[in-house]
Amino acid sequence: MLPERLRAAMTPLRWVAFGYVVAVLVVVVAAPVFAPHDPLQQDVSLRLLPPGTEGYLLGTDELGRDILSRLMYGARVELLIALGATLLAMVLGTLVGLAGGYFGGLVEVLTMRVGVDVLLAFPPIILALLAVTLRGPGAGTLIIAMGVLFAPTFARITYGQTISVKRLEYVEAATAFGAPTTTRMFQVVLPNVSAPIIVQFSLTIANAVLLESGLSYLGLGVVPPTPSWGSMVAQGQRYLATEPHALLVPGAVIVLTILAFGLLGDALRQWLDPKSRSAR
Amino acid sequence: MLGYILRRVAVGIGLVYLVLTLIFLALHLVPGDPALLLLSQGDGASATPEAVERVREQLGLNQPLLVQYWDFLSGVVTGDLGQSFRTSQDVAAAIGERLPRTLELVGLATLIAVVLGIPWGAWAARRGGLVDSTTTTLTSIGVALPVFVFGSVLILFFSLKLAWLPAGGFASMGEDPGRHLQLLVLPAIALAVGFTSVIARMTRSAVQEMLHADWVRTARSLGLSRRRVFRRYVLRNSLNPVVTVIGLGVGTLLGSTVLVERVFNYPGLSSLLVDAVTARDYPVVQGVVITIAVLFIAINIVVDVIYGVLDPRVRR
Amino acid sequence: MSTLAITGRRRRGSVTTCLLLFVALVLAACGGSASSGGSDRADQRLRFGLSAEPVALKTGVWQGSATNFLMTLVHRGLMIPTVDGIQPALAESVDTPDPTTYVFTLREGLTFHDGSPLTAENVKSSLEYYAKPDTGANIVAGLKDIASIEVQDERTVTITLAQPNAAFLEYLAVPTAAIVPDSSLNADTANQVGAGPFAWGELTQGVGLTLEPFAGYYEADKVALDGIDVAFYPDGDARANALLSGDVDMIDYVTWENFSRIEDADNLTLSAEPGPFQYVQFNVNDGPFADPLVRQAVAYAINRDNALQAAFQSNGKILNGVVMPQDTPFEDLGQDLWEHDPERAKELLAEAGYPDGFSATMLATSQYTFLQDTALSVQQDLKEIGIDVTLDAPDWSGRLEKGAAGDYDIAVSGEVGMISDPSYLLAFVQPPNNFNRSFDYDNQEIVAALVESLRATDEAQRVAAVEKALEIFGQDVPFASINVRDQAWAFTSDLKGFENLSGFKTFWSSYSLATASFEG
Repeated sequence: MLPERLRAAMTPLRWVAFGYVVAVLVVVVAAPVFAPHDPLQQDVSLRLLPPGTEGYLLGTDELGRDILSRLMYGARVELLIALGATLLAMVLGTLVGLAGGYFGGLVEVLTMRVGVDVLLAFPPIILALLAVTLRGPGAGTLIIAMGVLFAPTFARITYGQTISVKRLEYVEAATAFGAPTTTRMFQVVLPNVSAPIIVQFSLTIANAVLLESGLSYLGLGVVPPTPSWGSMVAQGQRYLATEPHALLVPGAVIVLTILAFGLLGDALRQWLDPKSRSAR
Repeated sequence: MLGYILRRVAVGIGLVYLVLTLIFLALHLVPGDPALLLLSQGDGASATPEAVERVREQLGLNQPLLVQYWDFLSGVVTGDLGQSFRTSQDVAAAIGERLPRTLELVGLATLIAVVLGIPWGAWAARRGGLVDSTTTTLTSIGVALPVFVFGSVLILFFSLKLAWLPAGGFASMGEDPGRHLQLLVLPAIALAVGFTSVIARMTRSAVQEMLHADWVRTARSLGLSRRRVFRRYVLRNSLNPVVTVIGLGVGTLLGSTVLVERVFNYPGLSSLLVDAVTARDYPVVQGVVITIAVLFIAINIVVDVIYGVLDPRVRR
Repeated sequence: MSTLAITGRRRRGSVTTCLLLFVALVLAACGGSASSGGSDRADQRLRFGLSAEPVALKTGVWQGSATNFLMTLVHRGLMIPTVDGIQPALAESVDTPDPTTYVFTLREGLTFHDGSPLTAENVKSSLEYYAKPDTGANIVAGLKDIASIEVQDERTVTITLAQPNAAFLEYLAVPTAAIVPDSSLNADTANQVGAGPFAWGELTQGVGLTLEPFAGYYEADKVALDGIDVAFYPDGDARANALLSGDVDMIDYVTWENFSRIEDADNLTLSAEPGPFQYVQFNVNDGPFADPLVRQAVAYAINRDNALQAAFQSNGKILNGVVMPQDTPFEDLGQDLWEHDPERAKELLAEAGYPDGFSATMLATSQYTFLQDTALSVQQDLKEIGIDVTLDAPDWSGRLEKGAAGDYDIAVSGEVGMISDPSYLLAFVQPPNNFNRSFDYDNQEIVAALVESLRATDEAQRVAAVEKALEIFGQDVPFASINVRDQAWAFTSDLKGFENLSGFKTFWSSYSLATASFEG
């Protein structure tokens, strides 16, 4: 039985979103089972078939590869990149923000001023560009680049929360009882600042998916022939005027996925954020 | 107060120094030889080693890294950002040309986003129900729509099908103001879609939160009309987080318009930066990054100072 | 907190009013003057959408097709490529009393854009500059044979070669072989003053430039255009859209996805000619590809129909051999050195000692989609014969550096010869290394045969030498050809007089804009 607060947060639409995300995760795990074709198998005599063609439910791309199969395998890469980058950003950002907010003084200057502000002062695109040109394109590069790129947001949120929490009675009490610093930071402060961080998590995933497709458009995405949703959209963009399905199909999947994560984020916020208890 | 400002400016200068050192080092770590690239455009005979060496010498690339770093730093201090490897144009002049164009684009996009996003979000929060869920869906699509895709659709529809607006390019305000504005419309809309969605979502959730606050109930129980409470108190108090989001968004947009600039062939700062990285045009990359960093840090300082003026507790 | 809110609101109020006014203005402007951009030919100014922003022009240096486009309009050399072959340009006539002597007679009253006269002295100093390797001039190889350049009088120059060179005049017709004033003969002066039909107008970085007709051009009376407004459109789709929407009258380098869109438009003409050839290059320094049998296997493994369709939507033709100049005795030579035959490829691999195949990296680039699609197609073909290829796709700059350093096993490239004469192959079969030829490849037998053809004055002898070179080529495979792609220009159909040069020279077809005009 779900806790009442969670049940209240899950509207029917959000349940649909939840179901969709679960379905995507199942596909990610079992792509080889579901995929009707080899996602890399080319046959240019079958190029740019429209959706609904027999054997190719969602049509084929410019090299005659099955779009449905590519979407399924692409989900692996996409979620690996989006989740990986977001997790990295969350861990990095939370640690930095926590340390800066908790210790203050020099640590604060080093983390929030030097670390976060310098990063924010770089145009995001240049960070991604430099990372890709330095390390070569690929999923690993994207995870690192986007992880670093998204970390400042987490750091700022955590920092702000930590500052407001650390003066509260229970933290002072933990200090008075002689709890070691790490215990105080991770077991007392962190749980009390985590709600907005978790909400930010779902927003960041959406941003990561979007940025991945933008970088693919600039030729900085995953290395072909590996499919990713973003690179499929970027490739399909070339045929927008003549064969729009090559763009619309993966584009729709991206939109649906971001929509689902957004809805789940809303649910999460409502569930975790005590202030919105009475909402709806 | 003055001490506080000075301290912030000093930290800001430190930050700019860090940024420019980082970008200098990163660029020289990146593989790709600007001299080789200048002489190899990919559709003809390639350059002789003698010629490449000569160009390296001309560009000062054969000097030790420290010397190059020192030249770069002393240039920046005197306001000389060097010359483009590719076009030989003065980098400061190039930025002076491009920055206003990007500011204009970002400004117009922000304007559209604010004018549409705030009322939309507030409306959705107040009405709830179908309006609210439609808003959630539409804004999710708006946030999820890759800007280069939406831009291409705009061109297909408004430029090619209806022939209402040009498909892209740039005309200077001084020479052809009408065309200048026409050319701004589609890229600004493309850029505004995502931003509008973000603002609408933020407004919606902020207003929703306020509507359920205890003081709203108090105000209502005091006999104020729902409309009056909303106009007078709820909306006004909801706007703080929205303003924060707008501020952050504008900062991000400044360096991220490259996709729109690419699709609409708009010669802004962002595409200059990306093209310069592609061409390993070090002086241009460095110049643009410094410009954006200075802008960003300056905006932050101004915001902090305003907060400091308004709320003495911030000044420490 | 409340102070902030109130101050903020007051400011917002006035700002919003201002901004709303601005929006109203914008909309009014758009509503009022939304022109269709259609062709109301009040004048003869050509609006041109160019595929790249040209870099600062350096005298004699090959700087890519965008720069060459400007060279063909601003500059003139002694010779010019036309649909009827190489013709005199600044020269009124060329006499070759013997195979090593060329006497050029200049046209009367030639001047540069700055008003200074163009004389035989300028010819001498320009060509001597281009013959020096350290200037970066790209026609160095073609001028190596020059023994002396003598000025007979103001209008007559005699060039004596140390040995016959069948391609000499062709080199003089390359756009970078333009005759320029002495003040441009250094690396620092922008090479903008020429003797061509259009003079350099105004350049706006990142936007475009204007070219104005030059009254002192030797055939100024035939120049019909009132000028050319060049706008830079680096993105292929943006460029095609600009033409389709009427923003520009003509574009270069139509990307293949856009061929049908332009062909389907009523008022537009697409003019495509086979241009650059695509191929697989090898690092022959060590590893499997040092073995000619393995290179042959690759040449037999490539499914050229697939590659052509994948990268170019079949706009082009497959290449089972080596590009030879059309309408010459060479045109049928070396056209079927290899073919798509996976079984043969597997046998060759087994013979070379790799019956189970091996793995390798293939260098491509993420920047040009046609090279990427070609790479993907070749990757699949090689997988079929057991060579497991991993793609390396850095940006173009990274591709150049890795290519030049030999940091790859195989790579895909697209390239043209600077000249059409079979001797263009010389650059591919001997040192020095560069990014687009097989790394460390050196075959002096092929070189000797090609040089023999270049030196021979008897046509039969020339053909026989090339035939010999190509025979070795087929066995040793300096590179494995894939296809020749169509390279297209597109323009509004009322533009008459544009002539598309076929082959490698298609990039220089803008020479004919000197006599183009809008009609009807």
